[in-house]
Amino acid sequence: MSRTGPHASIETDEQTDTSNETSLARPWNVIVHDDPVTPMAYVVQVFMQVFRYQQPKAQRLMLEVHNTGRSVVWTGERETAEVYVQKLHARHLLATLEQVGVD
Amino acid sequence: MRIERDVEGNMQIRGLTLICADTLHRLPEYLESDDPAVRARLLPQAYEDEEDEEQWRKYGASELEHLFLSRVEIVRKDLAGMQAEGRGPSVSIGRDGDDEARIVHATYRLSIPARHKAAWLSALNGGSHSIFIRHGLAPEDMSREPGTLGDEEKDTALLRVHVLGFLVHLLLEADGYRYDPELTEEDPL
Repeated sequence: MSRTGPHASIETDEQTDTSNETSLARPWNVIVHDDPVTPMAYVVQVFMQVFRYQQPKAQRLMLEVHNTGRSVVWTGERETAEVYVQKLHARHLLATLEQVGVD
Repeated sequence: MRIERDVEGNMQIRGLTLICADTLHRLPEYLESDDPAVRARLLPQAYEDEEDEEQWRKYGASELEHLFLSRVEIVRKDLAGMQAEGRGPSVSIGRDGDDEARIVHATYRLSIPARHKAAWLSALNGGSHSIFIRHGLAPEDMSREPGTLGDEEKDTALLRVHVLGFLVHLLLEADGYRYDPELTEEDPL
């Protein structure tokens, strides 16, 4: 998906602006947002399945989503982040991508 | 309601009451809803940036649409095998004074092959979201008991959401998952 996806064009663009290069190098956060419907146990199971997290970490992240409304569940390169978001959407979790350091 | 799991991971949900069986039979309809608000929830936004989101819609979301279609087919196929079990009370369905009666089956059973489990879990969750949105439930309704909302349609919708949520728990527990609030990240598993 990602090779023909959103940032394929960015990879082929000529970058002459240093700030853009810095921006491209910044990692991306995968953020999961709270919703009133998805069972908490299912969220834990999805984190374990998608990210291969151990249950304690998956539970901590789920509780962070539940208590604060959102949680950064993974950070890394954009291509991988997109794959994760797609997997989370496939399971009907609310997930977004956000570049680190962008307000 | 209970679940039986064989050594290969195939599951059979037994003792599904009428409301459970009926809610499950409606699952494809919930998942295929063309209500724009439901579609927006089942295929949510990934990016805040409009251009990025447009690209996401073009590639990522369209792949998801295909996945959802194939998932509905899996659910439909398994639902076709749902069978009645046990017998409930005899109820009159007579018309115009006809006292014809029929036996209402008390419970139903549903078999879910191991390879379909992930599709079912996602479908149950997606169906819950669809019901929640279509019937205008509010987040605070989720902590209320069905029957206390003062609106028959919403009460039934809330009951159906709880039914699907309970089935998610059943499937997860049958697969060995147990929520343990005492677990810490230092604990070896």
